[in-house]
Amino acid sequence: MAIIVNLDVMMAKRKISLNELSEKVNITQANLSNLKTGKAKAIRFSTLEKICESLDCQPADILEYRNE
Amino acid sequence: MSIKRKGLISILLFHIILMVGFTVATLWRVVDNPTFNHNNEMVVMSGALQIKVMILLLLTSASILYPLYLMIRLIKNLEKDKIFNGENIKLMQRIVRALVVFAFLAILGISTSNEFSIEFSRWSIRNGALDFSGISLNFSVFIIAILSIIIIIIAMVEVFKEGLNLKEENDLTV
Repeated sequence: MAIIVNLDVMMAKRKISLNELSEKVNITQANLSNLKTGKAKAIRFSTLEKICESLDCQPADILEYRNE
Repeated sequence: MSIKRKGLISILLFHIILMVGFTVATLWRVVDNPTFNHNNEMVVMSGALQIKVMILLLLTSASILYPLYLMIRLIKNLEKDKIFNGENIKLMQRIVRALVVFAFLAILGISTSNEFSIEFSRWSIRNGALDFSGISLNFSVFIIAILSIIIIIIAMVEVFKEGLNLKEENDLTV
């Protein structure tokens, strides 16, 4: 997919583990893992909002468009 | 076990009993068996023809067992809340193929056993030509019924494929 999820980069910058983030955002680890590995097909605005709030970042820090 | 599954299993068992009974009954009376045609003339069905008819009808009966078994498996999956999955789609595709085979065998078997067809085939052999008018006259309703079922299942396969796509998308939405 042309949309790349850079959640792992942002998580490394904020030094937060998947477990911690899943607790903060209130999403299962499996779903978060799907998002991190790029398996997810879509993301809800509410989820994006929670992640941005927890990681104190902008949606653009997590999502990136690459022309393939 | 649901009523639907119980019903299908009963049909399956009943069918097997009928098949066995039919074989025994036919073998019992393989003799020159007089019947009457539409002109009220006596037509003798030879023993060889009776056996041919029996084998064809038996094959027809046996060919419905497989789609029935597949339907039981499908209902079992639906009961387990496995509705939109790849296995169900494959099962339905197999049911369609099995029903096509059944329809073909049924047309062949029943038309051979049909009095008119026997007459027509005898007439055809004598005249060196093949005539299938007996088939179209007597089995058009049966063929339309089976074809309708097949078309409905094909439509259901498409619906289930779309359902599977939507389910996957929904499952992978975070």
